[in-house]
Amino acid sequence: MQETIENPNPRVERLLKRIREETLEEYETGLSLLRDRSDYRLCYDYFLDLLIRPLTPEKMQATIGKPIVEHLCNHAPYELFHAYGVHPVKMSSGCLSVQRLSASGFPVLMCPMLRSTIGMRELNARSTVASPTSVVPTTCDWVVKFPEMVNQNRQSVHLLELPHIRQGEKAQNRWLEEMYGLVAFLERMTGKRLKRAHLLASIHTFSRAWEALLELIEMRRRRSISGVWFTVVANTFMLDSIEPWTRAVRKLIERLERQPNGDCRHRFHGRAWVSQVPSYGEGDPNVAPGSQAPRATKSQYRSQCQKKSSMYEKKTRMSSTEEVAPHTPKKTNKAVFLAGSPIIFPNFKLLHLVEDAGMNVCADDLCSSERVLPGAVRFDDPSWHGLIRALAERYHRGCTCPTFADNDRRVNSILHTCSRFDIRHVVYHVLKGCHPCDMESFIIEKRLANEGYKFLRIETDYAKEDSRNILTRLEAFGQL
Amino acid sequence: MVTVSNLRLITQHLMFVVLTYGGRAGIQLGHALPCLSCPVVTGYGGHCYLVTLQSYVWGLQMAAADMLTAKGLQALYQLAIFVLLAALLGKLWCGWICPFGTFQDWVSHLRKKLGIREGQFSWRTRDLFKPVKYILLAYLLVIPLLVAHTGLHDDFRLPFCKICPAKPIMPLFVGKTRCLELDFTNTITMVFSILSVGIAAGMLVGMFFKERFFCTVCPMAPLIHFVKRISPIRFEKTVDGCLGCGNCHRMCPVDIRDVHEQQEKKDVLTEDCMLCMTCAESCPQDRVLSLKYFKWRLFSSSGSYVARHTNKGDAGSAGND
Amino acid sequence: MTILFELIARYHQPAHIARVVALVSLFIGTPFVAEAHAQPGCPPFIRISYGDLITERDGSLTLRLFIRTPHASSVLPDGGTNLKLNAFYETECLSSEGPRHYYRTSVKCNNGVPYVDINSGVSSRIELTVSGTCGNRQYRAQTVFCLFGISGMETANSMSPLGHLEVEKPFIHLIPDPSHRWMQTGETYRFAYKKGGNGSRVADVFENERHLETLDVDPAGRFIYKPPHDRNLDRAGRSAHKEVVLLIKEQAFTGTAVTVRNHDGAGYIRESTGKDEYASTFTLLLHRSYYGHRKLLPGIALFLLTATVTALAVIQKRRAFPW
Repeated sequence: MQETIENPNPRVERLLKRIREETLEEYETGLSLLRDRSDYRLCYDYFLDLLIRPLTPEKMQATIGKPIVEHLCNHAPYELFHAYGVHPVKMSSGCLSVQRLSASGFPVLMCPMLRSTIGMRELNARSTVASPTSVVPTTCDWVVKFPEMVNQNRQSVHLLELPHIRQGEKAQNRWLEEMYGLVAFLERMTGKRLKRAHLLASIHTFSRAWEALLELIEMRRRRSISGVWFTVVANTFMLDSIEPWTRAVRKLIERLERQPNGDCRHRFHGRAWVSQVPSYGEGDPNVAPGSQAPRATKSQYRSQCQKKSSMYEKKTRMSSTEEVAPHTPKKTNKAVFLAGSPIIFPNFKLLHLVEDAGMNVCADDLCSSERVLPGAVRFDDPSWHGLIRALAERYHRGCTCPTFADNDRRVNSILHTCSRFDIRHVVYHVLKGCHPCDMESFIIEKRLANEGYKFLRIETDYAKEDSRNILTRLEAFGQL
Repeated sequence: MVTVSNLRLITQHLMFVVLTYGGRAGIQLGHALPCLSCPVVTGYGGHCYLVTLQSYVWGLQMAAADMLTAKGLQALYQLAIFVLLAALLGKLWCGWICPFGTFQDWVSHLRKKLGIREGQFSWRTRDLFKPVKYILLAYLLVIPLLVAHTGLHDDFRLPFCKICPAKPIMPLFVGKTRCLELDFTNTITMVFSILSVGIAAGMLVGMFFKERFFCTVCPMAPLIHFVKRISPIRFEKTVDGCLGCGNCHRMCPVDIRDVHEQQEKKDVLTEDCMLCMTCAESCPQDRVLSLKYFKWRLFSSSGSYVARHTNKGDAGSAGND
Repeated sequence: MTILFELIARYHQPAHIARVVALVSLFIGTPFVAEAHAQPGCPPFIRISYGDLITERDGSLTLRLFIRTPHASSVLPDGGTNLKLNAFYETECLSSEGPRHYYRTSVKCNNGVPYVDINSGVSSRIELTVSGTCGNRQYRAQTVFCLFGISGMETANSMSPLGHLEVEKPFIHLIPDPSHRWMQTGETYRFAYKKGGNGSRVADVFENERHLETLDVDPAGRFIYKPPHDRNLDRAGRSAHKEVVLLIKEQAFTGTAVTVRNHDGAGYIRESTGKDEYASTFTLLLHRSYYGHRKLLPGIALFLLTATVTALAVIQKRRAFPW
C-alpha cells in the first residue's frame, strides 16, 4: 500500500474513498446507536465527539496541539510522553470497514484488532499529520510483528522488549532498562532532556486523571453509569489532551451524581438542538469556551438518527425490533464482569448484546476500558531514577495482560471485584486470533468454576453476523 | 487533610519530643520501651528495653538463688512491661514512636528534598540483611551472660549499646557530644568506642542513601515480633484481591517483599515490618491490605484513597518533593 | 542511752531533738573524755574499708564496711572494743527531694575486725562516720557512698531515724557534688576540715599502707584532692575500685577549754587537757575515670572520616549503576 500512496492508483483511490465512506458510516452508526439510547445524556457528547477523532487525525492534532506518538498496548508510560511534551495515542482500532484494507498480505486468522489497526493506518496514511513515530511493546505475537507487517521505518518505531515474567527481579531490571531506552528514544525524537520537575508534574496530571476515572469506575459499580457509557469514556482516553479530558470526566461525574435519574436527552433550545454541557468544548478550538454550539434542528436530527439506525440495522442484519432506534436497553438487573480481549469503538457489539440480554457490565478488566490507565503512580523516591522506576513498575507489574507468563493473579482481581460487588456472572470476550486471551480463558474458567461463578466464553470478531447467536447464548447465560 | 501519613508524622514528632526531652518535664515512660530511645540522652522520657535486657538478661545473669529476689523479680517485671507494651502496639513502636526511626526519616527526607536517588539493594543482598538482627540479638543476650558467669571483662557489658548508632547520634539533640568521644581507657574501650563512632557514621550515611537503613538490622524488631502471637495488632492481606502491582514492595521503606509475594496466608506482618502503613496506603486494590486491632479494621487499602492522596503531597509520595 | 531516748520522747520537735542529739551524739560512749588517757597500744588512726555488697531478697542492698587500723591486715586491739567505737550515718534519697535521715548503727565484730552493715532499699547517698577514742587519742573515720536499692524501704536498720545530728568536730567534710555518686580518679574532690583543736596545715593521702602525697590545708580547713589516674584501674573493669584514705592529725587546744552546753537542766562538761590528739580519716572509694580518657576531637575526626569514606564508597558503587 505504501507504493500505492506514493503513486496514486485510481483503482486504489476509489477503494480508499469507498472504505473511508463506509468507515465514517460505521462510526456514525455506532454514535447514533449510543445517542439513541434511553440513558443518553448530552453530557456524553464530548466523549462521543472524541470517539470519531481517529478518523480525523488533523483535527485531533489541532486539538491536542502537541506532536503525536502512536503506541500499542498499555505498557509505555503515558506520563513519560507527556513529560516530553508529546502526546501518545493508541493505534488500536475497533473498526470493521477498514479491515478490507488489510485483507490481503496478512494471515487469514489474524487478530481483528491488529487487522483493523493496520487498515486504519493505511486509511490515514495520506493524512498530513500522520505520526512518523510509534512505540510498540512486545506483548503478543501480533504486536511484535506489527512494525514489520506495516513495513514501518525502523528509525521511527521503538520496540519495548516486554519481559513476560513480571514478578522477578531480573524482569524488573530489564524493564527498567527498557524505560531508559524509551527515555533515550524520546530524547532523540524531541531533542529535549527530561527534567524531574516535568516528570513529577506529568505524574500528578495523570494521577488526577486516574482519580476521576476511578470515581467513574465506582459509579459504574453502583450502576450509576452503564457499562456501555463507561466504555465510551474509557475509549476516549488520550484522544484529547489529558487535562480537558479529566475535567470532562469530572463534570460528567458531577452531572450524573446531581441528576441520577434526570432526563438529559434532547433539549430544544430555540430552533436548534444544543449541548447542555457547552464547556466540554474546551478541548475544541473551534468552540469558544462557554458558548453553546448549535448542532441541528429537531427534524434534521431525527431524520439523521433514523438514517443511521437503519444503516446499523442493515449492517448488523438484526431483524429484531428491539434494536431499532431509539435503542432502549432492557432493564439491567444482572451484573456481569467482562474480561478478555479489548473492546474498541465502534465495535461495541458485545456490550450492546449483553445489555440486550438483560445484563449490565458493571466491571471489566479490559485494557481498553478499566485498565486503560494502570493507576496512580506511587513513589517513595522522588529522584529522577525513582520516578522512572515507579513508572516502569506501575506499567509492568501492575498490568494483568494475558501475555504475561506469571499472570495467575489476574483471576484474583476478577474474584475480588465479583465478591465485593456481588457479581456472579463473568463473560469472557475472545477476539478470534487473540491467542493469549484465548488460552487464558480456560485457566480463568477453571478457577471461577471452582469458586462457583458462572462463566461464558464468547469468541467473536468485528463482524456482526454472529450477533443473534451470541445474544441467544447471553440470554441463556443470564438465566443461570 | 487527615491521612495515615499525616497522622503518623504528627505521632512521630510528638513521641520524639516526649522521649527525648520528656524527662525534663517530668515525663517518665519507664525503662522497657520497645523502641530505640537512648538513656544516654539527658532528660529522656523513657528508655529502650534493650538496655534493661542487657543489664538483666531476664534474670539469667544472676545466680539461681538471686532469681527469686527482688532483683530477679525486677527483671521479670521489666520483661512483663515490655511484653505488654510490645503486644499492645506491636510494630507501631517502630514506625510511629521510635525516636531513632524518626531521625532516620528526617535524614531520608533530606535526601528526597535534594532529589538524590535512593540506594537499591538487590533482592539477594536484602535477604542477607535478614539474619543480622538475630545475630545482634544473640550478641546482646550472650555477652552479658559471659560477663556474669565466665569472667569476661567487665568492659563487655551492655555490648549492644556500645555499638548502637543511636548512642552517639541521639544525645546530640540535647547538645551532648560525649558519646562521639573515643575512649582510650584501655584497649577494649578504645575498640568499642571506635566501633561505636564508626558504625554511627556509617549508619548515618546508610540511612541517607537508604530509607530506614538501620531498621533492617535492628534487634528490637525480632523482639517485638516474638510477642506477635498475643498482640491484638494484625496486618492482613486479602490474598485473593492482590494484583501483584508491586506498589507495596517499592514503597516499603525497608524493602519487604513478603507482602507482595504472599499468596496464601493472610498474615503479612513480618519481623522487618514497622507498620508504617505505606504499603497499605499505596495499594490500589480495595481492602486488600488491612490493619486491624482485635476485630476492628483501623485502615484498609483502597483505590480511591490512592487516587485521592497520591498527588496531593499527603500520602508520603509526591508530596515529598 | 536511756536519758537520750527520754529526751527524744519528751522533746520530739525536730529542733529540740537536733539540739539534744548534737550535744550527746558521739559522746555517749565517751562522756568523760577528760578522764581518758592515751595508751601505748592505740593505733595512729582508724579508717573505713569497704567490704562486700550484698543484694537482699527484698531488693535492698547491704554494704559491709570494716573499721581498720592503718595496716590492712591488722586487727584492732580487742576487736575495737577498747576504742569504744560508735557509728552513725546520714542518708539522702537521690531520687527525690526529701529530708536527710540520721541513723545510729551498731559496730559488730568478726574475727577481731569491727564492721558495720549499712542497708538501703532506695537510691541514696550515705555518709558514714565512725568515732572512737583510745586514751587521749580521738578517732574519726568517714566515708561517702551511694547505694541503689530497689525494695522501696529506706533502710533495714532496726533503729528509728534520729533527728538532725551534727558530727562532733573534728571531721572531714566532702563538699557534695552530683559526680560523687560514682567516685573516679581524675575528678576533683573538695573537702572542708572542721577542726577540733588547733587545726592542721596538711592532709596525708594513703593507699593501703603507701603514703601517696601530702595535701595543703588552708587556714579555713579547705583542701582539694584530685586522685591521679591509675593504670591498673583503667585496665580493670568499670566496677573495679581502690580505697584511698585521707588523714588529718591535729592536737587539741593548748589551754584548758571548757565547753558547757545546757539543755533543759542537763549539762555536759567537756574539758581538754591540751594533750589530746585527733586523727580523722576519710576513705574515698575510687573507680577508674569514666570520662578522663575520652577525647572528643579524635572521635569527631573518626566520625567524619568514616562518614566520608562510606559516602565515597556508596557513590563509587552507584557510579556502576547502568543508567
